[in-house]
Amino acid sequence: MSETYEYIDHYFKENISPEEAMAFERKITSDPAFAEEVAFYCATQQVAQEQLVADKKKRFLELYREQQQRGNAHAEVGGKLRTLRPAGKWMRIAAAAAVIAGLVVGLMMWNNSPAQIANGYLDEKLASLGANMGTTTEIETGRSLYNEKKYEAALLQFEKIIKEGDTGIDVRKYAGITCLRLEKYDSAINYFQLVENYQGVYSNPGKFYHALALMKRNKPGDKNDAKLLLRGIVDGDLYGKDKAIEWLNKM
Amino acid sequence: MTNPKIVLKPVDQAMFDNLNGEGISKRKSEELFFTSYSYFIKEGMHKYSLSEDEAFDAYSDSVLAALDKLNKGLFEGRSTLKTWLFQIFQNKCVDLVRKKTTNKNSIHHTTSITEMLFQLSDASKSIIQQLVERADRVLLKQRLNELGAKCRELLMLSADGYSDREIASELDYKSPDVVKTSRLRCLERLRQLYKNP
Repeated sequence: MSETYEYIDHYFKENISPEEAMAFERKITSDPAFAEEVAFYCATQQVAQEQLVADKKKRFLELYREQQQRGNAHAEVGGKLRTLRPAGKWMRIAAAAAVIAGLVVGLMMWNNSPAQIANGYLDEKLASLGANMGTTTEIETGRSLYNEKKYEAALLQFEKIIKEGDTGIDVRKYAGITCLRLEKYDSAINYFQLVENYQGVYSNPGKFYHALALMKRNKPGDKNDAKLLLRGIVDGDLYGKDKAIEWLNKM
Repeated sequence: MTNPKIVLKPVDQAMFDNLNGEGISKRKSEELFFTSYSYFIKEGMHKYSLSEDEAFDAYSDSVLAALDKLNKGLFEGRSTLKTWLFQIFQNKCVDLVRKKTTNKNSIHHTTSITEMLFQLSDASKSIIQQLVERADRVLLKQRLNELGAKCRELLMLSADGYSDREIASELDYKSPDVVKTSRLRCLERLRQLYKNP
């Protein structure tokens, strides 16, 4: 019997010549007892393989259960162990990070929004209107009203002065700034455009305040228009150049 | 076993070398291969709405199929081992979903015919296949488990593709020839047990 199995084993496990293979197959077809032994050899191999798969799956299940019990799945990639936390925990961490990142980005965007920049400038530089050399008493009255935050009254004063025929640049500038305070942006822009048109002024603030009004209004397209004006100020080395550079960097 | 032309991603080299190793290290590597990507099971549960048991079956079948392909040098290294295994796993999951919807229960693929039969010509194969199908597999499995630990281990390692040289090294036999003789004697004993219960 051992010789028979040795012969069968030799056929299936080793390289044999074509002649040996033909002899082996002839024996199968001509010798039923031998065919039975070959079938048993093959059946054993097949059953052992099935058992092997079952054993491995059983072992895999044990390993999986161990991983489950530990709560973490250990993974080894490239010879280094890393711990995979449960997906829920990752999700919570990712969600928290996203919220924080969103808040930070939102805060940065809010701080750097054109309206916020304009508000900062209004509060810092235009909280009060400084006296200019050569301004009239009427203009001084309007400026005082502004500084007392009586914006409606200040605007009425400035408009009255303009109606009475004052053609100066300062009253229009002040009227525009007061309109900004009152959130009358279109009027403010009209006044600043008038200021822009003044020729022969050493340092014309019209373009700068026009840009400021657009930033404060912040309607669709205002930001781009404001940036164009600010670039013009920088390129032309006009009034407010330093602020223009700063704001362009922020926007 | 190993395809010498294969170019692996660096991340897979250690794993691949271990899986193509011998003896205990190979067994350990197989287990490590399984545990490394066992989180696919949750993926299967989530993505294909499988129960944990079903996803586990699909994953363990995928690992076994991948190990079999690795043994036969069929992994070409076109992707990482992880990606490759995940593709096999996805296919198993899809098969499972399909079988569930057509009321077929099992995804366990037991070989209907051992690969060794393909060495035979059609005429011989037909004879042997019919005889194998007539065998009482339940009884044979039972007898295999009754054979004794040493014999069982010899036959199981041989069925797992270990050569006599590898088994000799693994189980401290003097030589591969001694393994072969012992293994065939075990087969003979199994035959007697099977024929004369």
